[in-house]
Amino acid sequence: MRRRFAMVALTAMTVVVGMSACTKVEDNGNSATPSKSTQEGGISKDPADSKGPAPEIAGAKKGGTAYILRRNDFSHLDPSRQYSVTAMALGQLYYRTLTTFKDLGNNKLLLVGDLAEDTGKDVKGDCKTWEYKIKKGIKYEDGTEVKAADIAYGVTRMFNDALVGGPTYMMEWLADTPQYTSVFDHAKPENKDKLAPGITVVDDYTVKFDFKKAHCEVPYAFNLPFGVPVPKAKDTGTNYDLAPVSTGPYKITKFTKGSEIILERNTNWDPNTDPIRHAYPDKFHVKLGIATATVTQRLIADVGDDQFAFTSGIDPAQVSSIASNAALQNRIISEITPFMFYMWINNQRVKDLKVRQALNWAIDRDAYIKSLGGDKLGTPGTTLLSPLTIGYEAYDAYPGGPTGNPTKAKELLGGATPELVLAHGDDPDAQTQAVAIKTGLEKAGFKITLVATPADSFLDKIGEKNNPWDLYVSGWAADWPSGASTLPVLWDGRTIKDANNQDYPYFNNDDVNKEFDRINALPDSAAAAKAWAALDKKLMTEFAPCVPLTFDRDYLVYGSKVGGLFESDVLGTVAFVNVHLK
Amino acid sequence: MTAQLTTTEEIHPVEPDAVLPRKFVGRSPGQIAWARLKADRTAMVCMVIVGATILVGMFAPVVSWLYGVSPDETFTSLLTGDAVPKGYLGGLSGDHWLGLEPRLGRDLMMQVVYGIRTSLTIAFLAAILSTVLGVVMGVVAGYLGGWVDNVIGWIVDMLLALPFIIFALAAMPAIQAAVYTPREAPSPFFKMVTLVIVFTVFGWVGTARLVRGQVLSLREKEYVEAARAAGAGTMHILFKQLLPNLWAPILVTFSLAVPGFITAEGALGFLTIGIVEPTPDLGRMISQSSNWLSADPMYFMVPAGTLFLLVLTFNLFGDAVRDALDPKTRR
Repeated sequence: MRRRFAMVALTAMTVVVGMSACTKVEDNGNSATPSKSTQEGGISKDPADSKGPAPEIAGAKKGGTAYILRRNDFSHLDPSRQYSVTAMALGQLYYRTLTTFKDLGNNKLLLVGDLAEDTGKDVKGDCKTWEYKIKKGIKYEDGTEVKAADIAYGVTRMFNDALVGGPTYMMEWLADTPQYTSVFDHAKPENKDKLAPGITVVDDYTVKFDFKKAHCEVPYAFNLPFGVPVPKAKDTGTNYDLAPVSTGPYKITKFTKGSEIILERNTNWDPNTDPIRHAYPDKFHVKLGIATATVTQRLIADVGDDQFAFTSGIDPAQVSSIASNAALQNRIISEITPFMFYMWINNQRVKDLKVRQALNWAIDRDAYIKSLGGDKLGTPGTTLLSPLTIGYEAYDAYPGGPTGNPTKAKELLGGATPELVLAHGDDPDAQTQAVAIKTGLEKAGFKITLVATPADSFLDKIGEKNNPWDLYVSGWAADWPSGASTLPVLWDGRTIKDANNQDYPYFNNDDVNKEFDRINALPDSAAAAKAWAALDKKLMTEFAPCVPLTFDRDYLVYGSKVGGLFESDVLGTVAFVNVHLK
Repeated sequence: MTAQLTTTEEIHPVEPDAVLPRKFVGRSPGQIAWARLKADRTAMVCMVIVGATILVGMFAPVVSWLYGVSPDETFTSLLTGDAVPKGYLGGLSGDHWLGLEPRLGRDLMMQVVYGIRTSLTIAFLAAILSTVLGVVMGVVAGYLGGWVDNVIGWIVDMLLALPFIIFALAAMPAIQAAVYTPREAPSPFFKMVTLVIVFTVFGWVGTARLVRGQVLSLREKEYVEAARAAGAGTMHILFKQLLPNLWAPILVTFSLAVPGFITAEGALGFLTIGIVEPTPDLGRMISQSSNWLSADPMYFMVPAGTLFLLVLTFNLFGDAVRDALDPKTRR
């Protein structure tokens, strides 16, 4: 009996090893495309761009049920509380925002009006007063018309500490303080019927926002779910999360937490008002609670309803087997996302510019990307801005090549061997990545000590001003594709506080700070975009405040009968608005 | 186990040609046990493997020197763009006998050799310390009885009730923080010592209970009463009279504790609360490689197979030692 079991086990092992022995692993050569050089587009100046309907997709037909397979529930369905990119991708199906990006996928992003007739009017030309006119004839799922008051109420209800989870820019700008509920708290009974400060309903179709300071990026910010119309009578507070009222092409007809969400056609949606949504399938069926590895295997297997299915994240360990499977190559998405990874240099500790520059010369990005799991998951990055930023200019201030240039780094160090501490999370992946970075830097003469700290508190720890480490890696994604939502957030030294910092390199330079203020007040978005790109290059060349590592990539496989799925340069995940079924 | 061998061996306890001249020579129990062990083929095979792994672990730097690759060296150029080793069987080649790790491209054989070193160091130290502690506590509790037995019994019960994994999870970072500043990486040796301490704190209770039971029955034996009547002190009775008769069970618990600690260390590594990078560790390798099972099965097979072989041979060897020392326990 025992011997027979041993034989079975032995045979099984031989078979598994044997199977892998049959295939020779080769570099399949289709390594990721180099990063895009520039991102075109900007804010639309022509109201015609904001008109519907969205141009037909060749060969797309209506009908069918599309399936979305996922492990985790979406954190929130209430538009005001959404911040996760996958939730917002689903949100595009059942709510509309004031402005939206026409994302053509091929390096072209154009901000247009969605609910609004255009991208908004800077009334006095000082970026302090913004007026939005709402398109006529937009209806909720019950047939009542969306009015300016609903937009005003949509923003106002977000001044409530119970309705958190979503982005907070708009409330902070209106209240002119990060503690916006101290200025106006919609949860208080006496404020129930008031509007938040700065919001005025001019007439049924016009709403006005007054800010105390200049905010030229308001049109971009309204692409996030601020001011998604909410009918006041149907606002159930925290319970609105369970049954949000639709303004988009679909309405939620069934929602079982952790299990499934069903979206069916909203007959009151008029395609002629909508510049981006198509709504080809009759139904979207979100199936939740399926392990990511299982989702991946089901999509590879492509059986039954799974042929009409897609997902927004696959199991990274299966990437290489998908990449080497020729049969799957026509149903794969491999695209860059707005997410970026930097190795931060703690500028309070590493004060010598030469050391910071030497780190940039020495970094072995090839080894780092391999430690992530290969070039389907990351592209070498040398800039501070993501290539998906409008106005982006590619440059490499320290062109050490994919594996770095230790000789050049040694020259800069002039025989010194700086001892630096690289802190990383104690999870196995972060440990592996840290080893890859350490090995590359030590070739250039650095002496790197790896310190593992608990992964769940890692971001809090590096966000403490007096953290004891020299180097640490973390990621960042801009909320909208403009330099303003990356550079000042990460490198404005005036924002440094004792804890919860976003300026992880603790970089502070008065000239740079002044430049931030200057560009932020530029009313011309095209000029601002150019200025951000120039500042990006200046920061890296003159200060080398960090080591940019990679631009994150999304790698997905989807069902064989799904069409129109594309990676959104704005969301940083796949967008569902063009999906059609074959 | 080999039932066929057992019967033949009991009929001819020693080799036939050795029977005649030694017919009237008296043999110590140790010699008898050794003869039984030598006749057990499984035991001998396991002993050779165990001996070889111990040597490999002890002389890992020599192996690395002879093999020409250090465990920290990364061969990223031998990986594809998807970070999988190029070639057959996970990058198997003349330079890399067991292939490479995906992602970092380190040599798998050197990782395993140094991983064995880590595993065995921790397992042996923990087994020795916990056995010594267990024996002392067991003998004292069993012989003295009364309140001493009660107190030790309470401690044993408390430790058995304490969940080991959760304790290890909480204790490891706390011990580290007490010794090192946040800018220092703990030396690999320190991590190992911490693990050994945690294992010892929990590992001695089994041995203590076993030894206590044995002592309870032994202390009523005539020779102990005789020693007592002759005026021997407690220490003399404990260590000169009782302990020699306890060697068999102690040896058995020790030999079974080693594979137990190897598995436990692997489990902690798997749960990522054990040894961290860059010290090679079998448990952590297994947890990392399980994700790569479909893309690079060798990456999983090598450390998993090594750990399997290590635990299996140590266990079989432990079993054989028990059989040799006390044939009555054989089923």
